[in-house]
Amino acid sequence: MIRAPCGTTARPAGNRPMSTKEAHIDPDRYKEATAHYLAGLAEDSPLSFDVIDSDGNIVFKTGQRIRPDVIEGLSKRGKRFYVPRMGRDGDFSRQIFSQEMMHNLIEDTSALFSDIRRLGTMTHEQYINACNQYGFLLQRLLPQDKAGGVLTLLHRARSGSHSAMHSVNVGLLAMIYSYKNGDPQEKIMNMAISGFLHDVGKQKVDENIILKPGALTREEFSAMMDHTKEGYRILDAVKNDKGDKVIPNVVKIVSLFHHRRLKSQGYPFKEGATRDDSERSYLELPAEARIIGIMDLYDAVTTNTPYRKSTGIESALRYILNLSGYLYTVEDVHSFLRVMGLTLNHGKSFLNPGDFVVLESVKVHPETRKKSRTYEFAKVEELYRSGLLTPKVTIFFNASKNTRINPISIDLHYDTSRKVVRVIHSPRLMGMMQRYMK
Amino acid sequence: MATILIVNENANLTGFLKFILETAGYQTKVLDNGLALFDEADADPPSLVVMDTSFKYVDGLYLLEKFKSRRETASIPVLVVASKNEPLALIDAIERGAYNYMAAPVNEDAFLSNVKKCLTPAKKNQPGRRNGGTHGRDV
Repeated sequence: MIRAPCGTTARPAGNRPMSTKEAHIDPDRYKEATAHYLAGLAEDSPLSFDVIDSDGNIVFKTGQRIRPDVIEGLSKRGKRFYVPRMGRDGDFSRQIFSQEMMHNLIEDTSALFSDIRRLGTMTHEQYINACNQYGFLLQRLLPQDKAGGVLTLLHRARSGSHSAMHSVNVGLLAMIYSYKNGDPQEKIMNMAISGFLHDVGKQKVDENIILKPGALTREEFSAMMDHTKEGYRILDAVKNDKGDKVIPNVVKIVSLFHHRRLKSQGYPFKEGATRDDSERSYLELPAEARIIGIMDLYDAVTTNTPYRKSTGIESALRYILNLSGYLYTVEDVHSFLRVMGLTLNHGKSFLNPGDFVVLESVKVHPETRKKSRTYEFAKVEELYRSGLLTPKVTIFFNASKNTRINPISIDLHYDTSRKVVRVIHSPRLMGMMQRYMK
Repeated sequence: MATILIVNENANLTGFLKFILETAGYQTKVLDNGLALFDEADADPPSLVVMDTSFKYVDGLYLLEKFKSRRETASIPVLVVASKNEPLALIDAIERGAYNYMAAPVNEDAFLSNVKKCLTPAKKNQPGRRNGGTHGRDV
């Protein structure tokens, strides 16, 4: 379900009586933002764009921290605020990478992939080239991008062939995730290259299958599944002049295992492996493979493809949260959303006050080391005080014991034992929750 | 006569459900392998599927999602009767289109009333006060 960000009033300029004061605000570039909208941006995080008022003066500068009391004070004096228009691509004043850089990157990637498709192999030179490109991008990141909750926007590629676009995007997501996480240089580069080359095996799969609009047949799907193994083979065969294998192991492993999932096996899997076995082996994978699996999905659902229409950013993030503990582990999903959530969603949280959520708390038995999980239903009361995934909630139902409890208000910022693992979408479940609350 | 397809790997639970349903006058078919669900449903579409979420080799939620998203089977109602209770599976199953989620041990009356509701055709577009309709007037 896609919800409009609360409080935004993006009226076309024609409907509004144009006063002389507003005449110089270009409606193509700016839109009105209510005070409510500005207050909804994550508290205390620096802005990545200028906010101007109806006179065209800059009220908040890029990099300034948002303070709700200031916004409230200004709006009481009858000020109207304008922020740069943001489409799905993001259109703010400061973007991490310019359109031109992305364009060049896409062109190079398309050329690289068509070479791989033609020759069936990748050369050492091409690999070094890709490393250099991402190294160059990495230098463009500023220290302020590292700070938690910075609203700098990631400009993702929107043109070129789908596989080139997707690879570039996942590489960027992985690089920025790792950078914001504070990893050392080498690890950031490994993440970026793993993300960039994760789908390289698709160059060995028939193009008609990749671009087929409808559902795949059994044979086509098994050919599609082979792209993980093919990717491993291509990367494993890359050797330098002396004949040594150059690509780090983790890059190959990501390419091989980025389609593995927690409860629903994914692929590749061993013939005859039970679900318990595959769950165990999933948890033994390196963290890079699991995280890039999430980014793969994120980019896939937010991009238009011949077989699927894209969803909005907010609904994609909610969708990923709802897969925690099912396709991905709760820890990985939380770490992805905590680091990337604000950056991707224009500084807004993807939860809204009034949403019903499911909380999970894990207890480890001191002797048997067995984990027991308790689930509770809660309603989100207040956001942003304490971060993206730690709202203030009211717990009203214990789902593990199937009993109502007296509503208690809890700030998840202080209660670290509980984690948000689901946000309710379906009207049926919402109705159920409302009945439980009474 | 409504045919109900029971998909469950737990023999005890299957026997119990089969007994209840047949006593209430329904025809039943039993599948002890989740993977065979689609072939069975395509060959002879049942009026209702009563399925589990945990199978040994395949993910029940995935099966449910696929079942509900295929055009051939999307209109067949699904009632989830899980052999072990997982609160998260309740959320996931209903979000993926299951009519309801029940966990073993199953209350006989609740189960039958759920089955009955599943088999009654939905009154979605009928005018009425409760769903904000037109109160019987043509608009």
